[in-house]
Amino acid sequence: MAKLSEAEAAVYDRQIRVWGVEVQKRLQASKVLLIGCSGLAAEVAKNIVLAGVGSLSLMDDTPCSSGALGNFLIPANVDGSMSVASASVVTLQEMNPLVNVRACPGLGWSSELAEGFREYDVIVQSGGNLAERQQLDEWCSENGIKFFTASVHGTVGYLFANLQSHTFTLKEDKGKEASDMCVERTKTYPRLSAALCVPQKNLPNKTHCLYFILQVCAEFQRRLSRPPAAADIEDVKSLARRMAADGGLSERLYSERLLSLFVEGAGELAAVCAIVGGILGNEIVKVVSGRGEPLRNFFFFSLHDGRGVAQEIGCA
Amino acid sequence: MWPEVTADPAFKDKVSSARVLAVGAGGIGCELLKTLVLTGFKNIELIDLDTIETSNLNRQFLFRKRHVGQSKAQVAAEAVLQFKPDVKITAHQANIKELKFGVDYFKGFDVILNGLDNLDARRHVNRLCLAAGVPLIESGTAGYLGQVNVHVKDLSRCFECDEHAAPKTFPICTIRNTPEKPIHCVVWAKDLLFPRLFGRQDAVTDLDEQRKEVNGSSSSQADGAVQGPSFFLQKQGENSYDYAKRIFRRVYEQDIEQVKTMDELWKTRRPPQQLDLKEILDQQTLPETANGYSSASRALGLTESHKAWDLCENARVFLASIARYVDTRPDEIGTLVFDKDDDLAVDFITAASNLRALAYGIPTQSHFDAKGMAGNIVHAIATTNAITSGLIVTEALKILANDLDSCRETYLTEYAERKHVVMLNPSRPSQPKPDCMVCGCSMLSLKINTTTATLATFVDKVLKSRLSFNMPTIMCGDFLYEEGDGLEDDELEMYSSWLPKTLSALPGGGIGNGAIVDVQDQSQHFSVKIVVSHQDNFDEEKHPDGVILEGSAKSTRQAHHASSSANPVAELSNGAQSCPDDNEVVIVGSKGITGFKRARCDEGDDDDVVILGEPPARVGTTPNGKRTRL
Repeated sequence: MAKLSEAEAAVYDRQIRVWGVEVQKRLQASKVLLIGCSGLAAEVAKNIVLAGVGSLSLMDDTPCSSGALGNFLIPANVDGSMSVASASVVTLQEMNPLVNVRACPGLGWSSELAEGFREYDVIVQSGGNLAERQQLDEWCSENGIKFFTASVHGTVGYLFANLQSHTFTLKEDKGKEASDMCVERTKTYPRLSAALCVPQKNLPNKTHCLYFILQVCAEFQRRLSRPPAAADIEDVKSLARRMAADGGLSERLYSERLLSLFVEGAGELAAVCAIVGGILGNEIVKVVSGRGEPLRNFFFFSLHDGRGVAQEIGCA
Repeated sequence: MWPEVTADPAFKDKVSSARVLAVGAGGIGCELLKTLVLTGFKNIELIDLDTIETSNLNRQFLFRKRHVGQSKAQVAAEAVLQFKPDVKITAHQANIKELKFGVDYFKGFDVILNGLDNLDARRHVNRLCLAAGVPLIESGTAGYLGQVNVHVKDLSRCFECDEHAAPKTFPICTIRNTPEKPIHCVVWAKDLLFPRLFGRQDAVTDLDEQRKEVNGSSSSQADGAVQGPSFFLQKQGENSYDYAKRIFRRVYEQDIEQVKTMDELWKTRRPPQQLDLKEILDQQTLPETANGYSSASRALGLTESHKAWDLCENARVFLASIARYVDTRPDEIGTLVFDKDDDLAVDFITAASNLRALAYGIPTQSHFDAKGMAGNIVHAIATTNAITSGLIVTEALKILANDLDSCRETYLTEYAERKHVVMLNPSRPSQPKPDCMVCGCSMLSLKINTTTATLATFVDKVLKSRLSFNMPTIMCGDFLYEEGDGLEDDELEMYSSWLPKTLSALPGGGIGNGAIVDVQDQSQHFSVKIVVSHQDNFDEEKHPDGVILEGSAKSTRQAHHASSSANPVAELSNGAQSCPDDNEVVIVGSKGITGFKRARCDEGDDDDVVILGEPPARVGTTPNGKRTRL
């Protein structure tokens, strides 16, 4: 691979000291598609544009006039008819001219757009309903494209990774002595649909309460063909109780309080976006560079206890 | 209730009317400012002295290339207004230690948020927060690691309750005679050789002491005895490359040869080998100094900064960088200090340290790595700062909600494979330490040679450097020494005339063995008592500056709880609330024992920085993933 230009070396100096020049070069060869331009997406986009991916495409045709609150990439005086993706692209391109940033028309995955998705190494969907995410996840799995999805609901957030079969190198940890010996490893990941239907009675006791809530929301969506809204809270609660009883769920794995925080959570809290977006940014860097242990396969965060936990669920 | 309160309209009003001070507009600062305004904070003051550099742009996302050289605080404030015009941000391009940011200024805020890069400023802000009674949220990042701490007076530890590692120093003998690691060679090149060649001539460096020492033991050196510091200067009419070669021969041939004669050093070590310049250079040519390149390595075609040079390349860069300094930048010779952004200086340090490494059989470094070592360059990425900003704002919200019980300190760790990985691990802030010299009551003990150490040493090395005093006032019996604004000329003259005097020779009977010195700082609302004991000699390896400063066990708050304070365990107890009024000592998760002591090692080149002494990374990889907590 070509060596870094002087401009690249100067701008990326501090992070090359973290992850090395080889990772930086691989980053620059990577192509990422980000679907949805929420506050969380803005964090992710900022993080990977600063890191220096080769190209980033943003897809979200929502006009700026209809909201996208919390996306700090959109200037206050923006033309309201502009799409949130196009407005974000302008800021991101300025933020790092070394990255090729562009907007793609569309609102999400569709079979017509799919052909154009093949060029990406990584596709990230933020927001969107679960059915769409599962469709995209299936398509990515079949086409060998690494898939992430993440969202923030009020004070709660999570991310899911499906890297299919992912091979990466890892610096060997030989205790105290730092070593340059690298080992190659492969990890396999389940699809989103499979990861979400682990039988409740088989869940380990440490499973984060948010996991069951995701299962409940998936079931709600399956029945009503839409995700639950704040007004649905009582219906969701009774659905959750029934599912917990039927599935033999351990009491420890269900928190009605967290369910309320998740379902009723209005908008995205900026602090939670910064945290989940930061974790996801790190994961994308690891995945496209093939260096470092990538997270498998869920990350959960909630402000009620402030813990951020990565868990393997439904993995072979 | 936390976090439900965040959706409460009355609470949202509270947030929008709250006044917060963000100290630092760098890596953490940019992220913090963004997260604050998106959360609904509308009254923010921002202080940062620094200007924007190119190497900031990979993470300080509010800055653009065109802003390089401008004030971080100003540009950050303007950038945020682009997407949030309805907030009020007051930006100060200033040092937080300026007197105008005194205790009254601090009292004007609901909470102070630190995104600082150095221990000194952190301590200063800590003291003012305590004096003003305003909660402080501290933060720091390094690479993938980050931490956020909450300091509320009387309820949790203050920043200075825990020890924070000072920047690493090395025994001078290791640097001068027996380097073992690349960093020892870099320090030698940067702190001994570079100043000798290009820095102020009146500042005698330890390089010359070596000469004296060695000459004293081997009188056979004919030329050595008359060589003072002027040996290192270019002679009248001397060709620049002849000069550079003379320096090379001196430091890599003659000095190495001499140090080899110090037999006692080589009983357990392999002695170094001289470098033979003629043999190394062979037929290789050296570049003209006036060929348009500012950098010596570039002039030699060595553009790959990640590849270590070989012996001959190092020798050529060494010679070419010296020649280039004397030929193209003669006006600066005699005043230069090492600057990591001066390419020629980095060339010189890289080559000089590598040559020394080669003489001693130590691995060499690339230009990139040598620059990082010499410049104390921080390792920094955007994501860690972003996550940290989220954690800071979270704690700020809890403080505004008056929910101190929910406050947590959080360590961010790197992901390491396991079925269940706690990457963000919050814990309750620890109780204040009764014997903290800042928020508790304690005396410090100082061992120093009172008959040779001067007042200047006491002021600079002990008070300012070790204890981060800003403008100390020193009282001991009838002796009074003051610093700061508002002193009369004759006072200034008198006080400065005392600086070169030894402690025991100061007026008013002197500061001798057993003296109790009262030191106050008006600008920090901070005072401390120091018990001085005289000690003749110090182990040069352990205490190179001849000072041993320790926190003492004498603590009034501690004594109140444990009447017999002789029990050494008592010092580890921080159970100020739960400790019953007798000798029973309850240890409530003392971090000192469980290995959770936080030591911050900072003083990096810019913003973010802080390292977690108890690396969470290590914690995160323990087999069972368990942490002992409160």
